[in-house]
Amino acid sequence: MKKKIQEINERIKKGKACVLRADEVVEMGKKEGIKEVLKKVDVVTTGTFGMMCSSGAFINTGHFEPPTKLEDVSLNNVKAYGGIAAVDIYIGATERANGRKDYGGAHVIEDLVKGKKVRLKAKADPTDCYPGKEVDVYISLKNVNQAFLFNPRNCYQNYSAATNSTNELLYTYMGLLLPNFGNVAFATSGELSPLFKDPHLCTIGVGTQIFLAGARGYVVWEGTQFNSKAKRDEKTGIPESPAGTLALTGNLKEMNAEFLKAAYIKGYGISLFVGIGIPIPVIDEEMAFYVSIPNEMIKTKIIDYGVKRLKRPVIKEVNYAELFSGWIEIKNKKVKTEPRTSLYKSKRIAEILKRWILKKKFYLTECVKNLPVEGVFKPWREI
Amino acid sequence: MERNIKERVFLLFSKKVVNYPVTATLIKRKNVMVNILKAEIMPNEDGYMLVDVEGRKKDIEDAKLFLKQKGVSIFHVSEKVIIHEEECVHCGSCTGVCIPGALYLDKNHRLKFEPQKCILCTLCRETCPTNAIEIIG
Repeated sequence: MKKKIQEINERIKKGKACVLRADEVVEMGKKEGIKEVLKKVDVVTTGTFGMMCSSGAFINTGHFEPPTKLEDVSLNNVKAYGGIAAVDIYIGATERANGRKDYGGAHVIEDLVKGKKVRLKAKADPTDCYPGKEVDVYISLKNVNQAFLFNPRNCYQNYSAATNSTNELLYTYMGLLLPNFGNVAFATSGELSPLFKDPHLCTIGVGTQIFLAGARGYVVWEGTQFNSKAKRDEKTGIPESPAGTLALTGNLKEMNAEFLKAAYIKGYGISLFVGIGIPIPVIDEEMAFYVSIPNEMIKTKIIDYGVKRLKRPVIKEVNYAELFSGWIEIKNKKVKTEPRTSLYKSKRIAEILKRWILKKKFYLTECVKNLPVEGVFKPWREI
Repeated sequence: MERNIKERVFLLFSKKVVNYPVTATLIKRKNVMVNILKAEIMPNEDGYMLVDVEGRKKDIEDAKLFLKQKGVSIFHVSEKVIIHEEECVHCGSCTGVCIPGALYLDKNHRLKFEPQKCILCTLCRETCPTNAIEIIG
């Protein structure tokens, strides 16, 4: 039995489609089996809400009088990139405000989405066509032309968990790591996470329409550091270490601050919580199997952040059911585990996307280009 | 005469240090009075102590240096911890560093806080990415 995306969209249109959240379909798979999942379910909605540093927004302010190029430009004292056309700028999530540690690009983006005004200051070398020397104005999402999130790397397909073997406290982007294997931090929504439910990215590609921070968003390209060569579990096909990533875009003006939240990680810097939901069509038995994979069958590695090198030693291989249980054993010691991804919000995202589809507000898209199968993520090498 | 100062601190021990008489050393050799308010110490397990230390400033500094050299992590404690619900995204980052289990995720994956279990160690604030935890004092 095979279903076409067009046929699923017809069923959505007629109000006959069966749409389930990924956690619901996992339960169904356990009780009724894969064949029933294929027979009964048309779409599975996924969700994740985690910190994704590789995020930012393009903004076009509109031209000024006198015409001025936004060159040396800042938003609320956070440096933005002005090295593109005159009034186009890019604000990156992790850029820190001048003189402040706990405010940065992610906070500017959150402020804009909350409807706040943001101070734009810029200096420019005057030219005959752009004679203005400086700009000092307030912008909001109401008075700019375009504002769209453009995130080069989101939605990591698996991520290693973190622990600390040393007898010193570590402040990392995985949070505070207590000494002597005091805790383990991990970042995923597990069986709800989009790229676990389509491990070979058969249905997700360039052009796929998604939920992005409360708005419709789109997959625009493979994400940076995309790695298709990560070792995969033989049974599930799911990579056991960081693998696929997505570059995403969406209209900032339509986004909701409930699903886009600035983060300050002490000792590391600024990041941005991004809410993403991707609908997975159950087109054949293979996809029915993938969408039903439970946390017990999704593996990752616990890495020792106490070793300050690019290649950190693996302490243990685990599955996400163990990590979500709250405790894990490392070297005969019971160690607390903590998620860095909000499962509460991830589930809410999957639920909202499910309702959008059931209310016929959201249809599935056929991707226009598949993501690479040959991409390898390399460390930096000299030419 | 130099006045005594009093500080409340949270001490985190690795299992290697648990077998060493830390408190006795502080009292007998470092001239610091130690009042244990809460502790969980077991042989061959990591442990913690919430203590008031009292003594001359120099002795307390010396005692802290000794603790650090022994591999004991020291945190200054607060008077009160407040969770700002509107800032919390329920990520759960704070739950893994909350040693007494005052912070946890409920069955709906929402953060819950039981103030009566809190030992005011402030580790939660250190790791909270959304500034949802306020420390008073």
